[in-house]
Amino acid sequence: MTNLNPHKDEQDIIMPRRRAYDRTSTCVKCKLNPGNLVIQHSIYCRSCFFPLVSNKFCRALDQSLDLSSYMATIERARNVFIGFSGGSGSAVLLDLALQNCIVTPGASAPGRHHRASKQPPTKRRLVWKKAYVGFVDISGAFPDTNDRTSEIRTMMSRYPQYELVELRLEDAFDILWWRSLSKPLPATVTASVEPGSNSSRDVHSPTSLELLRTFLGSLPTPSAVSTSISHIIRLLLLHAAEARSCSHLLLGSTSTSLSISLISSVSSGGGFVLPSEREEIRRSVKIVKPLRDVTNKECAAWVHWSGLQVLQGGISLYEIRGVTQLTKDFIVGLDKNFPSTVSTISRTCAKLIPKAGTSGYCAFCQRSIQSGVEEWKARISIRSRQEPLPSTEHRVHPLCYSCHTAFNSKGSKGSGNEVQGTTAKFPVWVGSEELAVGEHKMMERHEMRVQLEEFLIQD
Amino acid sequence: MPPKLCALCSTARAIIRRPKTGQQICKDCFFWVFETEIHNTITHAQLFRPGDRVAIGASGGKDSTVLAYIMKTLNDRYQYGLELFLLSIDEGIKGYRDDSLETVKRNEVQYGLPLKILSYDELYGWTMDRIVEKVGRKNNCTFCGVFRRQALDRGAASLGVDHIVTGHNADDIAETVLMNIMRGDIARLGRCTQICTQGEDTIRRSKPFKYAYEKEIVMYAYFKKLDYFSTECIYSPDAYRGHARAFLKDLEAARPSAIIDIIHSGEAFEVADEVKKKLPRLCKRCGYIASNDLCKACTLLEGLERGAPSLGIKDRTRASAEDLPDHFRTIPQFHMPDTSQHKTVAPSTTPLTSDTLATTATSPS
Repeated sequence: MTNLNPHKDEQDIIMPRRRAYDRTSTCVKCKLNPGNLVIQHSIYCRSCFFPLVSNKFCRALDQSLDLSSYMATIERARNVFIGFSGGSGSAVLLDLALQNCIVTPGASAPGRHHRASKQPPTKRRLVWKKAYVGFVDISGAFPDTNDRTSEIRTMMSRYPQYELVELRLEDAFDILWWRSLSKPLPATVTASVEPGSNSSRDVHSPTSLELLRTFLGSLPTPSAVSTSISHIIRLLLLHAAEARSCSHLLLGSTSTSLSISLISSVSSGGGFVLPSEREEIRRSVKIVKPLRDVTNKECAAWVHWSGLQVLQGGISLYEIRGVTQLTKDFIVGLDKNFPSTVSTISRTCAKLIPKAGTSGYCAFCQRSIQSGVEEWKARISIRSRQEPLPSTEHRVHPLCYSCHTAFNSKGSKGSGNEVQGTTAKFPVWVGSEELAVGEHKMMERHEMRVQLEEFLIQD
Repeated sequence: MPPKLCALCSTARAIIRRPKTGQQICKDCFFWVFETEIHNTITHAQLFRPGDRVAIGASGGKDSTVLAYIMKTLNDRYQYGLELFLLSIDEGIKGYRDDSLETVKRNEVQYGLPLKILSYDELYGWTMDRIVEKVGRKNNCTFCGVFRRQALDRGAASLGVDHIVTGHNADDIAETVLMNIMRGDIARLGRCTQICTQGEDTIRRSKPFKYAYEKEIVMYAYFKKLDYFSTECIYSPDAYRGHARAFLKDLEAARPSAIIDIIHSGEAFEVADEVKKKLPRLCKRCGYIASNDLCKACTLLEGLERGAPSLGIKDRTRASAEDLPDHFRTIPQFHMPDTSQHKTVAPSTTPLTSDTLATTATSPS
């Protein structure tokens, strides 16, 4: 009988499905208790899980804080600012920071007992004098969503040790907010502010909200919107931290979200500032991500077993269609079949450093600008039969490669959001510059044409 | 509604939207930008010197078919003074490679370029069909990749060439950057965006299509009426790479500049000095570049000969450089070519740059 299935012998491709854990269902740590959670093919019981995560947190923090000289650390102790989004990562961060960094000596989270460190109390990390928690409400960017600040206030009432700082995305466009930080205004902004303005800080002028929406509406792609919002959140937290004499800004990025940020940054041309995604120092504040070795799954388990509250519902930046969302779907999908991918991405990127020299800082994201980018772009991608335009590196408000690409790169259909007759302005720290938006066989010609269909202009 | 005019020349009717920039341009301007960008890449990186003997890695697929055409065109137009050759590797895959090699043979006639075909069978004593019989389809790409790389160098050495150019395009490079980050392959990540790689003991190898989008290469072949074979190998179920490729296509659909942005990222970082890097050395058995006592090809070949193909893939115990039984086949000794005795044009020490070529270019036909 003729074999009608030419691929019959392909059965050897199909591998037996790998088990979720390697050998046994007993905890790999204590080897006594039955396991409760599988983490990268290893199984842990509940009581071993907490020290595991706690150690990861402390190790990452130690690396970032350089606690080689403990007393020196105490002497120069300042304040800490913790970014809180209401998600599981930042909820775990608040909990761990309280247990391990002892913001208020002797205090512990209500209803919880210390179980994190085996070190005697004198050796515990008394790092900061005062702790602030900053929440940035992003409802201003999404008209159909609600302000979540009141829910955050309720959640934070659990932690009297932390002082809540309420921020809004539109603050980035609010000159009064900027003034409240006692920061000098950029020269171009100063000229346009009327002296004697007496608006209250608590009442947001409609203008800042409008400015925010006009700015986001003028961006050419959804990818640019999500990238811009995340930069604005980061910088709002950074400026708020600096204004409160904080030496560190802690963010609850997990290894999963860090990997997403890293790949997303690479995909957006941000290779030069890749190390900044992991850790960066801006002015006097160091941004640290102490959960960078803890996965989303571990955070979810911590939240569940500790009974922590997280903000339910609402909009996430991952829901905005674009590069970040695609990256998130890709990484999370890959993580299911290749569980070590997430940590590999993070560890690989930790070994990378910028290659070329810098030419100042990006006016928008405030990260370093790689020199020679304009010339590179003109050479590899010809856009005119004329000589290339002068380099933007000499502009008053220079932009880095990623921001420049985000603000100018169009979507695949060649058009993005078009706001007719509006002029968008950058956030306050940039100044008043207006945003210029702008099967194996011989290939037949008709098959080539099919591949090119979307690029061919019909008569 | 009047036809949309070309964004570059403003005179002819635009017939395409350029994948790389989104600009609507005419056919002549597309040829001009595509060829000029390749020329810019070649001259800026100073890839060649007048008199160089250059082998074009030719598989019969779209990239290498267009590469052969472009290299011939630019060499004539800008008077690079290169001696060009076509170099093909026959992996021994029935019904796949033998067909696509027909395209390469046609190119040999069309462009008047000498062709050298080197097979796995004559070099290693194994064809891919037989290797797949032994190892199955899961790891066969490892064998093919390692064997092909060395086969190209050996073929180039037999032709006495200074340089090999391959058709790796921007999509391939962007995909490799992502793959190397996800696999934690620091050594390859550091060099995968280099346009030219050369060690003391390897032949210079370059990628003139480094910044050329795959779609534009297809577009160029279409409008120039170049014929090629689709080159999706019948033995390539590389699941991991497949994920990366699908992700890249999604990114490109969301933002076409993503491919160039990834390459830009890859060029902007480097591996920190403190990260331990293995220094290359020479294989004790065949003399080819290696990172251990034996090169990867010798290790894999020994595994095949011993009937233990997992040697060098999974086994922790590596093959040793000790003598093999006489009946085992080994790869012949590799010697770097002495190209000077082959040159028909007096070699130059001045690299080809836009300055040195400014006075010699002839207008495109």
